[in-house]
Amino acid sequence: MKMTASWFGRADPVDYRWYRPERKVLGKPMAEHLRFAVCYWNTLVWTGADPFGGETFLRPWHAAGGDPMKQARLKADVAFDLLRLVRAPFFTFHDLDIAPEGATLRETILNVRRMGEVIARKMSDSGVKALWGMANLTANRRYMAGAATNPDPEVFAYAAAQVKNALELTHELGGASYALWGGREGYETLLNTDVRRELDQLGRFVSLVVEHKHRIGFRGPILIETKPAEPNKHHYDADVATVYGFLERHGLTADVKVNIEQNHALLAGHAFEHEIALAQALGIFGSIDMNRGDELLGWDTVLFPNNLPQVTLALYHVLRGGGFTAGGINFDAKVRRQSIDPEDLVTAHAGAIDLCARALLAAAKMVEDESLGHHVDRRYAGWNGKLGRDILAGRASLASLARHVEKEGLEPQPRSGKQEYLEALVNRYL
Amino acid sequence: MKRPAPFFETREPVKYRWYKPDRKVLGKRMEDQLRFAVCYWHSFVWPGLDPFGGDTFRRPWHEAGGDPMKQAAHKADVAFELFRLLGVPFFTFHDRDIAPEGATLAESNANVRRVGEVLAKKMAKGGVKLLWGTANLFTNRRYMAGAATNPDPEVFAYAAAQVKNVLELTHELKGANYVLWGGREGYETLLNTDVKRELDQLGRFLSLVVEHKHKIGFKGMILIEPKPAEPTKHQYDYDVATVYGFLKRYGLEKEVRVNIEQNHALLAGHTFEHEIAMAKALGIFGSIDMNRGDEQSGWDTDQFPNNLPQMALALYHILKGGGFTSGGLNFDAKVRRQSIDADDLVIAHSEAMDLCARALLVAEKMVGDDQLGKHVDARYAGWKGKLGRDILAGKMSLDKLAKLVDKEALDPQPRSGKQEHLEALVNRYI
Repeated sequence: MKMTASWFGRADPVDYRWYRPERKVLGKPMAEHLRFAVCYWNTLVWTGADPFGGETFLRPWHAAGGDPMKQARLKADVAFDLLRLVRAPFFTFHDLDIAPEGATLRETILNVRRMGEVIARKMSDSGVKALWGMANLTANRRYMAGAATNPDPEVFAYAAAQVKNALELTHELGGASYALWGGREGYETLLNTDVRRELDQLGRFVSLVVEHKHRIGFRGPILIETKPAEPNKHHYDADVATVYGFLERHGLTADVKVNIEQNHALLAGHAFEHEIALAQALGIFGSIDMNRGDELLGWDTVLFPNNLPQVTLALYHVLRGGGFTAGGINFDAKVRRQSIDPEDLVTAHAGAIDLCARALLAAAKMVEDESLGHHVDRRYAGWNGKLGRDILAGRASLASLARHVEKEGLEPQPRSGKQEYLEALVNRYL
Repeated sequence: MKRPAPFFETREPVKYRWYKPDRKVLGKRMEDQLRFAVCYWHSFVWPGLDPFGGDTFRRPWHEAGGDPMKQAAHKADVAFELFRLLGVPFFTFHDRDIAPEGATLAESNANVRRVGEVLAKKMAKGGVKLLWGTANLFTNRRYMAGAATNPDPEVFAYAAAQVKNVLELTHELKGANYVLWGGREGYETLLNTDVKRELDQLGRFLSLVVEHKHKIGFKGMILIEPKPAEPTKHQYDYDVATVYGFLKRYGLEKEVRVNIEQNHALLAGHTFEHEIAMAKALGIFGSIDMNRGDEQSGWDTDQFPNNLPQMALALYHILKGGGFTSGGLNFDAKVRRQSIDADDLVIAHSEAMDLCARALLVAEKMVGDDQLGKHVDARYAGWKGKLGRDILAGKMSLDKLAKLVDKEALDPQPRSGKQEHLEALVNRYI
């Protein structure tokens, strides 16, 4: 189709100040460190509607009365043109982002597979890959009380069938991961909810997904995206620590990792880097949804990232933990409702990509010169001595430690935490 | 020693409107359902200071230049007088609440044991029991960077020796539980912190406490009190779900339970009843710190409970889960800084006890006619059928479920969640 290049009003890819895909950073090309992805939903599916007003974007593929499958193809043309313009190597999608829902599940699945074929061709033409796919188990009213955690097991079955299809499509497209976001897996009031039962249902559902992944030979991890609330009052996947406990309960830590979003971390009362560091510590770090919440608003604003120190510290922790394997940086971000020009989509992604690249360079400097890392190591140096090693190896008891304190007359003195120094040090890398 | 003048104006035990210790509620005495405890620290240790001003209460046992051990004895006299006036069956304490810190740990421990003997006599005489004891591992500056999670293993050892003493005293006083609150077990900045290492240290510490408990034959529960932040930016025992994951990681989920506080739940972004229901669902419910946070203030205000529907729902979830075993309702609450009259302590506690008793009667009605419970059971009734049972028993795969949905052309329809009906129903019990 000819019209796509003109839809954005530009033919040439973006020139970046900082993002040089081939530039080596800590021995790896920048593109392989960052693994940028454009998401389908916020970029191409959202119409600009909010609870107080309707569509502002007036995308041509949303025109009333159009043929939904033709509109889906137009949307895919525009998506891949955007990927080309911003030079993003990956995209992410829900099944119902790429294709319209049919009258029956069978029809829906068929639509998704037909669009999957269209997308597969575009992927092989462009070299763009799928970072992850997922099923939309949140929008249709059948899921209003949850998919896996629904009081009706038929809804569980329906969702299972939908996920089977989306997982298999993701596998066929060579997707690096498969994601689950439990936007309706939670409750609006405890008064009508059996928490224990719903957690068991959710555990069973994720187990089925893991089993099926192995059965079809899908090698990527299953990702759970954490979020504490919105749309529900409470989501079972509230944050990294909560998901870790859930995975331990159901024996799933080897197969399932977390997809961490900045705005979701903020809603849960955590810094972005906290969630990343904790996931690394617990061995369940998977991927990143890069965006930005407004610190003074209590909801998910999903702005494009813009805060250099914050993005730098996030990437510092990603690098310290060994960087991405299957994961990457997915821009789960949307242009504002008033940013109605097609070019706004290019600008938003390009600005974010360049900022992430700049942050990567700052984070690489932090890792290379290791002042921060050494400071932390030195802070715990005492634990490398005999006492520390004996304690952690399980060779001490309360009684033996009490005797040791008494015999040696231990009177440990506090040492400065040096927080102001470290905070200033971070700014020197920026 | 000359007896000091009576501290409280009230001389006779409080007469309650609702609290009748011997009244049977769901087959158990009210006193045995509620298991009230007065805490030492807020009631007798806090002098009324806040970050902007000092002592307002001027308790006689806080007078400058006094003999600390005599002051401790005076404080114990007043404490047990308050217990008598209230007719409260339990109390709770930190080691540093009951006795002054000495120049060395040996001296501190000796002080604690000497006052422990005083308390033991008073307990025998007054029939008051110990709900739980705990060690103060947060006030002294040696603990500023944590006790178990300190960068210095000597601090870990020192804390171990301190806990050993308090755990043994709690055992000798026949305490029903032993509590750990990790007020400094967290971080103020990730920049100087190694999260994984600190979690491993905390896991080791808790394991030592559990081992020692078994060694000395202490039959009570070890409880962890969750709190997300304050004083540190992030505390590792963030909330019930986080503590559950931590316990699973270190194999302690059968040995350790949670002590849930209303204000801490609120700070973590949860309702009180959510944390109780979650702990019950995960099998780690232990005890309650009953108080009330201010919903508009972002810190731990620890007010006395005052919200009848909130308390009724909390007690409803406790009763539905079988009630307390070793736990109880500890008033981890403080009178306001301007409530400087001695009898404010009597009023605050007795009114809180009366309101809890009233809430218990409301909860009894909820459990008794079980309309709420029946509604929840009916909502999940579909899971009792063959499909639901097969899914939860692990007899289904994504493949089988997809085939079933296709073959039966399942198109499950949503049913109303009835939230407004249930919310109105709750008010009918009140």
